[in-house]
Amino acid sequence: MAAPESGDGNNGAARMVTLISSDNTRFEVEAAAASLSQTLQLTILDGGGGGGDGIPLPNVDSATLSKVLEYCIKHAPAAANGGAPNATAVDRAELERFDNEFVNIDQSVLYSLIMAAHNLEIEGLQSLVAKKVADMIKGKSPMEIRRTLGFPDPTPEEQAEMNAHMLEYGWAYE
Amino acid sequence: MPRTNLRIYVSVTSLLLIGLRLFIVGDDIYFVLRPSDIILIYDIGKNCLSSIDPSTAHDTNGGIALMPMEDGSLGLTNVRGPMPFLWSRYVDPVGIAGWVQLKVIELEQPIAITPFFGEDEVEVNVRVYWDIPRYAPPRPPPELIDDAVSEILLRIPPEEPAYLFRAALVCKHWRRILSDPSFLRRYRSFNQTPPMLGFFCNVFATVYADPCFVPTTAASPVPQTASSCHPMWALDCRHGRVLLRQSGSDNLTVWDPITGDREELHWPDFPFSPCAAVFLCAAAGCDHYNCHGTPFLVVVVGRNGRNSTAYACVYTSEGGTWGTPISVHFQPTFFTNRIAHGTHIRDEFYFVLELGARILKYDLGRNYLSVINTPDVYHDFALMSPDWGLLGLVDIIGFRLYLWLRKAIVEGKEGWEQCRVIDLEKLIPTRKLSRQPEVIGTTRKQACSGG
Repeated sequence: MAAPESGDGNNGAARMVTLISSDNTRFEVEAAAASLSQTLQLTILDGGGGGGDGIPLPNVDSATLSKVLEYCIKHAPAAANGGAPNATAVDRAELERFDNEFVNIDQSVLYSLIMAAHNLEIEGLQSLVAKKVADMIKGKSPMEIRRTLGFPDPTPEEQAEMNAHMLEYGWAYE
Repeated sequence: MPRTNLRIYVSVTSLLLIGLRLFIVGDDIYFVLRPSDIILIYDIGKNCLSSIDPSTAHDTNGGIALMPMEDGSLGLTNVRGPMPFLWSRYVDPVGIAGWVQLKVIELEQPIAITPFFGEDEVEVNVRVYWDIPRYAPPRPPPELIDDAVSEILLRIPPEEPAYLFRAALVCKHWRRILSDPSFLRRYRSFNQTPPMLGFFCNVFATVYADPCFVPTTAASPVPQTASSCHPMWALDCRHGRVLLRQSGSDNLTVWDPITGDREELHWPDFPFSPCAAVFLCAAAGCDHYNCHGTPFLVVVVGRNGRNSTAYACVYTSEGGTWGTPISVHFQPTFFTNRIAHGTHIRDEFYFVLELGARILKYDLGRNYLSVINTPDVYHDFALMSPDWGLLGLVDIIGFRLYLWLRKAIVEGKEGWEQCRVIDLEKLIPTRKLSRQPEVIGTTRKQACSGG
């Protein structure tokens, strides 16, 4: 295994762990990146996920996991530096650019990412996807929000309730 | 084959309405006639109608749907038993047409199939879901867990209060989260400084009219006027309530513009009239993020005509009583009894006296009234109380904002120090202003950020 080129004082090769998606795809990734997940962090600290074992993630499919790991790998160096105190403006701008592009994805992928970020407790990713969805729906009418997020059309009872609220809080819909 | 006599009236817009079982390639419109599943082809260019014979492909139990294939031919899906089949139409060089089976899709669980209409042929992209009767409709996205929804809703910015109201109507699940007091507490601490929703503007023509609320958001929950029986004058506005003085009398009204609640404070026979006041929520331990109907305290100051005495007194809602007024003498500079722009820092209340020549200070803890000097270069400035607990003042000369802070300067003696000058010409299009800007007040956010 090649020694990592990160200059953060790690001696020797970076430790790798294996994550197994719900559809049995194996992902080998640096422990530092996987540890962005609070859920995985303890297991990894206990020495899990190495060798042939792998950590099964029954709630995350391979497409979503690869997207999640893309995020973790990009953000791991900054996280290792304890957030961003040492980061240069250029580094921060690059991460921001990455984040913006990262969430520029289809609504259905965004949904899987939200679920995965919560399951795996990756704080930065949770904020990032939540912010993206909030930006998608802010200012929209309730029906537009439902359509944006792919909710089914409201039942007649739900529609009646919505209409009643709209009458009561008319100022919010002017 | 049953004989079909069909008249077709076509307009491009109505095609969208017909929607479901039709399909367009070039000039050809394909219709599926239920329940026989015969495919009719109407050629718009030639204005002729033909049909395709049902064949083995049509031997179905759930209807058929058409779709364009990658090679431009006509595709068809149908269901036999639990399995969707995919067929393609071919016409060989001799003109013999038929169906070729391309695929049998093996499913563990029934799914909904989504054939598409061609996107280039029609002006609008029409998507048709095939409604197989015995299978479930397209699955909606999985319901997000509470935590995930909360994280999203937390990030809907508070600047436009209507945004959260609209989100509350999306579904019961969201409404439940949004109306949960613990979410509201989180929302307030996440978004920190509450947004400014607008300001009250006192209107005086020949008589007092009601103060008018000028919203600074697109949609506002605050009614435009207090709409009372007597015209009113707004004295102060803080912690969810507006303190109004009735025109023609000295009585005060505490008005909650959100709930509409009003409470009248009868003005006792004091030797002065209320000129300025500070209203405060007095509930113990209140974070003032959601004060409605809480106990309150009002500090009122005034002068008796143009004489050299200023007065202050305090009303507490819990006892429902006014305290005994106290007074201070000073040497008047201007012929005005005006007192304005009240603010407070902890137990100390400050008011602009004599158009800014002096500041009136009331110490609630010591029940003591005094007069302090000002930098002596400004008139009618606004006071501010930035978070770090110092008294500040802000005034405008030309297009420059001047910020001063009152600090201990030598041996514990307090004095004024100019801390910042803000050039408005860099921030707002000053050339478009029809009159000289004035400072009408400050909010915490502006004071902290200097914006």
